Formats: sequence, structure tokens, C-alpha cells
Amino acid sequence: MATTVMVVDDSLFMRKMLRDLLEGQGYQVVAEAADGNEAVARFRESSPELVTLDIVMPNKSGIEALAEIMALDPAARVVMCSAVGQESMTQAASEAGARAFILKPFNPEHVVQVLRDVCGG
Amino acid sequence: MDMSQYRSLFLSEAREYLRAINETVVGLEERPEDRAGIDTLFRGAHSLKGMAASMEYGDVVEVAHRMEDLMLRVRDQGLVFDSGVADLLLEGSDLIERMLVDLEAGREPRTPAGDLPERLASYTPAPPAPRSAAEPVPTPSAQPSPATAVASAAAAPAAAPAAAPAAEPSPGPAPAEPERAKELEVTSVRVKTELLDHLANLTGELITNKNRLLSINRDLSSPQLGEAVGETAKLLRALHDEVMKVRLMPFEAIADRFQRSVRALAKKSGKELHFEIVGREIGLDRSILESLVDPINHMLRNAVDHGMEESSDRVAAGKPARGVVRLSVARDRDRVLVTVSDDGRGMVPERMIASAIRKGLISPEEAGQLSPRQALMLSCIPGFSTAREVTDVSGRGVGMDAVNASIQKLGGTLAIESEPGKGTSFTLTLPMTIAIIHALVVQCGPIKGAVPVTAVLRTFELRRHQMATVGNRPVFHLDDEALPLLSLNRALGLPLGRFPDGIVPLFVTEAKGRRVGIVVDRLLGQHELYIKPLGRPLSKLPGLGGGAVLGDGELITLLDIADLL
Repeated sequence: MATTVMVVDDSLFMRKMLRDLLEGQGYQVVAEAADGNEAVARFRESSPELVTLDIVMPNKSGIEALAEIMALDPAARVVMCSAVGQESMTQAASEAGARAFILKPFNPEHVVQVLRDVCGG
Repeated sequence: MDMSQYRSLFLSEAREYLRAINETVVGLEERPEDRAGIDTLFRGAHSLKGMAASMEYGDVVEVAHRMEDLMLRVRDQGLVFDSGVADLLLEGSDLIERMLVDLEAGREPRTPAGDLPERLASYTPAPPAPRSAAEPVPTPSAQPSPATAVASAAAAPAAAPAAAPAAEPSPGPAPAEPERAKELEVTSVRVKTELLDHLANLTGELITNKNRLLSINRDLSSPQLGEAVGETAKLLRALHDEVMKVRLMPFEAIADRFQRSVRALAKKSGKELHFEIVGREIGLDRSILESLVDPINHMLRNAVDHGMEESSDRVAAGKPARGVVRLSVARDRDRVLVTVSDDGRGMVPERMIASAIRKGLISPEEAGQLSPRQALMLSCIPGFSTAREVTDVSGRGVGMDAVNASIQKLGGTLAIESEPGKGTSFTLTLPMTIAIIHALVVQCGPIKGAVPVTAVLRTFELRRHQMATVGNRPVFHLDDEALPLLSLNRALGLPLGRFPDGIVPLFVTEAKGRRVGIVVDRLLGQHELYIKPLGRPLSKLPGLGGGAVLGDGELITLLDIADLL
């Protein structure tokens, strides 16, 4: 059974790229969301096994959404997408329960490796 | 990973971000403390950076990165969002747009970033020093002074027309978040514009063919065929409407550049004004939309440069110091009205008339016949005004003849209303689409010509006694105005029509800013025509706007009346 994933990013371009990359690796993308509010709502609906969560987003940031998702399901596997220079945020995200980080711009091999580790562990 | 497949998505989304940035910058200049706006700018630059990095567009990354850093200073480090920050961000946005144009054409960006990244990184607000002539770097824009003009968009974003800013307890919603793209993804597909043109073309050909079937059945008189063609005609009308709807783009698509140009104009002229755009969601055919940019810019320039008074004059006249310029778009059945209005000094018809006489454009005799409305339209006569004279004479008129001409090319009309001391408004009435139009078909000698019904104000069959002459020119009276009568035959170089039964058919249109009666041999009625561009050398001839085929196979030319006279 393919691992189900939700991709969260405010950029359609980024979501499309990640979706293509993940589907190419056999993941099943079951939901997309473009801001923190939507991420929490979609998570509730589709209970994906894995979430990739962007940090800088409108309405509700990735960090805030992460906290809510972890409150809904403390075992949720969430991987944060961050950019260089967001080290202070990655610290906060780790404390809030993020499993791992992938750095933008995405390096496909790196993304695949990180997700595999998270799913395996 | 092959990134080229993502290029067009990147380009379209990057442009949405740029548009949101431009709009938000202009809005923030009026309310620099608006947190939502500051966040939007930061996120916009951040997202652009991330996307460009994925595409490995290093030049774009660098500029976006510096813009993001500058906004970070505003957001977290107390840097005030002043007009210096605004200028830099807009400059960055323009630069990235030029880079996108290069990338779209499949070449490396040819526009060097120059020292912009450095200026973005090292920006420091100018100290509020007293103005001095010996200032080493003349950056008046960086000093918030009362003379600094601010243009802004007060209009709510199209996506949230119902949101009443007054009722919003928190800082209002950030304008035009590009997140709308997300919803589009599910319910829509992206289609190349050529494909839309092709669909419109096929629909047009089908309509021409339907007309042909109708014409054949006029000889056959078959009820069955008549019924089938009638049904086909209905379906075609529905198809045409749908295809045209697909080609419609919201006015929003070009609205942003007007904000930019008004902002620049206001700044340059040192006038304090508020600019608002209403009706961004109204759809127009893309080709019309593109042709509107220059005329609207022209009218806005007139409004800011000439229509609007200096703040001190306004206060002296008991008006608010800050003037208002408004660009509004509204739908009226199958027409779209675009209005540029201001609450400036207005135009004085008597002065317009005096000036036109002085320049020999009209005779004093003709002047006596002009209604106030006609007097205002004098501004659209070529040669009426030059930039130097316009401000003291009329407050208007630079290039209005050019505006009028291009609107008529689109099958539209221009109307001016003005009240001295209160302001002026210019209204363009345009068809929503242009390829398939309703046209009045007229006969002149052996030639059949078509005039878009949007350009026809009325048709008449005049008796000879209803005609008069003013200074040996024929005129007729309509609503207390004396309208000159012109012969279309003469304009086309054909022998003049003879009207043995004493009835003269004509239609009323606007040409060079005046209502005129155009006399033809016969009025043949209204037809739905699919207009195609003429090839060379016909397209070079003045007065020809395109060609169409009638149901019986006869060729017909679309006449550009203003161009012919």
C-alpha cells in the first residue's frame, strides 16, 4: 500500500513539483493545502500518513498549523519545508514535534531520503 | 529532475506574486502600519525566491532574496515602510518582471540586476532633514513630506467584493493573495490563448456558414430546412456566447499598471491624490483589454496633470486638499463602460470654444451652433491642444484625439462630462468582444459597408425640409444640437447618392469628438458578422477595419468611420 501524503505550500508551483516528485516515488498524494488553516482542515478529513508542511504561509503559518496537527494526532509524521535562514523556526518546529526538515530549493534525492527515513522510523 | 515542464507554471504564478506585491506596496504607502500588508510583501518575496531557486533562476533569486530581507527588516526590526522602501520594492518587482520576459522567451535574463540588490540590502531611510539645494543625492521620494503625493488603491480585491473593510476588526485582508490559484487548479485547466483564438475563429466561420444556409433557404423556402437552420442559429449563438466568455479576462489583469502609473504621475507632479479602481472583476475580451492600456493611461495622465489642482488651490476653493481620481469599470448589457473621473477643476465649455476659434479649428459661426457637450468634445479634435497650452485653457486635451481614435477602432465611443470646479469624467463605451459583432450594413454606390452598432447612435430617414445649412454646410437638428451631415459616398470616393423620393437615409455616429450624421444610399439593416483582419495591402488603407462574408457570400468591409472622414 502506498503511503498517503498531504502536501502543504502556498505556492501552486511548489505543490505541483512536490506532488510529481512524491508520486514518482510511489507515494499517494491524498490532499493539498495552501495555508495553515486549510492544512489543519484537510488533515482532519484525510488523515494522511505523512505531511510536508511549508513554514511561511498566509492566514496561519506552518509552525502554528504544526502545533494544531500534533494536537489532533500526536503520532502525526510531519516534515517541514524550510529555506536557508529560517534556523530559528526549525528549532521551534522540532520542539513542536516535526520529524524532519527538507530544505528549499528541493534536492530530489535528499527529499526522497528524508521521507523514507521518516516513514521507516 | 526536468524542470522545464514547470516553467510556464512558474511564470504565471511568479507574475501573480508580482502583482500582489505591486498592489500591496501601493496600499501600504497609505497605511504603512498595516501588518497584513507587510506580511503579504514578505511572503510574496519569500515565495518568489523559493520558486526561482527551484528553477535555478539565480538572478531572480538574488533580487527576490534582497526584497525579502528588506521586508524582514520592516516586519521585525522596526524599519518604517516609507516611500523609499516602496520605490525599491517596485523597482525590484519591475526588474523581476523583465527577467521573466527573458526567461519566457527561453533566454538568459539580459537585464542585469545592477546595484539594486545592494541598494535593497543597504537601504537606510533618509533623515528628515530640511530641504536643501546642496543635497548630494536628490531623493525627495525618501522624505515623507506633505508635498509627497500618495496614490493608492482603495478598491477591495476582486476575490472578496463582499468584505466591508469598515466592519473588519483586524487589519483588513491582504489584497490579492495568490492563493486563489489553488482553487483554480481543481475546477479549471490552463489553456493556451492561441487555442481560444482558434475556437473563436471556428465559431465565427460557423456563423458565416449559418448565414449562408439562411440565404440558400430564401430561394428554397423549405420549412424543414428553415427550422433546422433556426435551431442551429440558436445553438451557435449559445456557443458563441460561451466561447467569448472564455476569452474574457477580468479588468484586474491590467489594473495594476494603472496604479503604478498614477503613483508615478502623482509623485512627479507633487500633487496629493487618492486613486481608486472599481470593477476589477468585470470581464473584457483580451484583445480589447490590451488595446485599452494606452488610452486609459492617457486619460489618467490628463486627470493628474491637468484635471487636478494643486492642494493649495483646492483648499482655497473649499475642497479637500487631497483630490480623488477614479477608474471604474462597469457592465451594461453587452457593453462595458470604462470611466476615468476626477474631482478637479473641470472644463469650461466657453473657453474650449474660444480656444478652438483662435486656432482656426472651427469658425465663429460653427461655434454658435455648439452645445456645451459638443464644446467639451472639441478636446478630441486633432490639434486642439498642446501640452503647453492645455493647463490654462481647458485643463485637458493632451492626446485626447489619439484616445478617441483608438476607442473608435475598437468599435466604441467616448463621452465627456464636466462641471467647472467640480471635476470631469471621460467614459468609454466598449463592446465586450470584437471578433463577432453586430453591425449596421449600409449601401454606398456598389459597395456594402458595415459599421459596428456600438458606434451607431441612431439611424434616420431625413426629409429634405429637415435639413438646414450653416455657413454653406448641411446640418440637421437633433436634441437641440446642429449635427453636420457628411456623405459616406464622398468619403469613399464614390459618386454622391441621389434621393429621388426626397428621403435621405443616414446614421448618427461620433467622429473626431462630434456627433455627425453620415449619409448613405441605403440602410440595409443589422447583421451578425464575423470580422477577420484584412491582409496587406488592404490593411494599410485608411478607414478599413476588417472584412466579413455575408450569408450570400458577398464580401463586406468593416468601415472605420472616424478614420475615413
